[in-house]
Amino acid sequence: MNRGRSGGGGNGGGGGGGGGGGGRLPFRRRRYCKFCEDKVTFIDYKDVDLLISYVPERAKIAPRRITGTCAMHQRKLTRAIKQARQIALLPFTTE
Amino acid sequence: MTNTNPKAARIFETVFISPPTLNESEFESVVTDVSGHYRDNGAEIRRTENWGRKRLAYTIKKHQDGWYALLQVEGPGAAVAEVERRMRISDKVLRWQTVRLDDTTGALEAAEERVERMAREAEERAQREAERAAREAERAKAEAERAAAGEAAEAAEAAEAADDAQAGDGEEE
Repeated sequence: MNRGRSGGGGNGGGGGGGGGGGGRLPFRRRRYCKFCEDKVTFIDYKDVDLLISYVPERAKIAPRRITGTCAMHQRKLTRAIKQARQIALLPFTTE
Repeated sequence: MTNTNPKAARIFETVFISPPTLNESEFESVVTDVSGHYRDNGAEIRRTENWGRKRLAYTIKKHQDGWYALLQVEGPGAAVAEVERRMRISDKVLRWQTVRLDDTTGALEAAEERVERMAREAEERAQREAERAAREAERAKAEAERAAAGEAAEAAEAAEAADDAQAGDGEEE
């Protein structure tokens, strides 16, 4: 299979826009705290439908860096998830 | 400033789980018992919810399901202590959790909102149910009419075609 490398490649260097500007623009869409948006003051441990979206697969609490939740709401969320686990509304782990 | 007076009335919410080996009325009597213990200790029941039998997120004492109930009470912390002591002894309660509502911003409001939301949803459900029933009734009526019309036509045809017998057609639907 001598498919040779298709052109393109060139020198990947790319990057580093024009002038000496150091400002790199964030490519990710900016994350925001969903709770702040709705002005949530209290996160209920009984609201399983909401909480479940913050405990993916292994039932671990999703970190802020993934969900974009602000520090205050992450604390409230964490507490609600832990309370929900206590009364078996949410799992601690998945088998 | 924290008020540490053990007799001060506060608002708590207790959720507890009973084993699935109980039947519904046995579970209801557990709910009554727990409420009774609260009352005996000077607490007032603000709200009772029976969530019915639910699947547990993990196994508790080899049970996969459990009966859930929620009580919202207003009373002294000592009442909670006593009720929890009793629940700890009882084998009709697998697990419980009591949280205080009046010291958490928004908790009481959220609880009230939840009650309203549940009422609204129940109402909507009832309405949908009623609409469905109405539609169904309408359809049944239309069908019956159509069947009747068809039958009449068929009967007329049959009578015309075969005048020897009034075999007609059985009352098939």
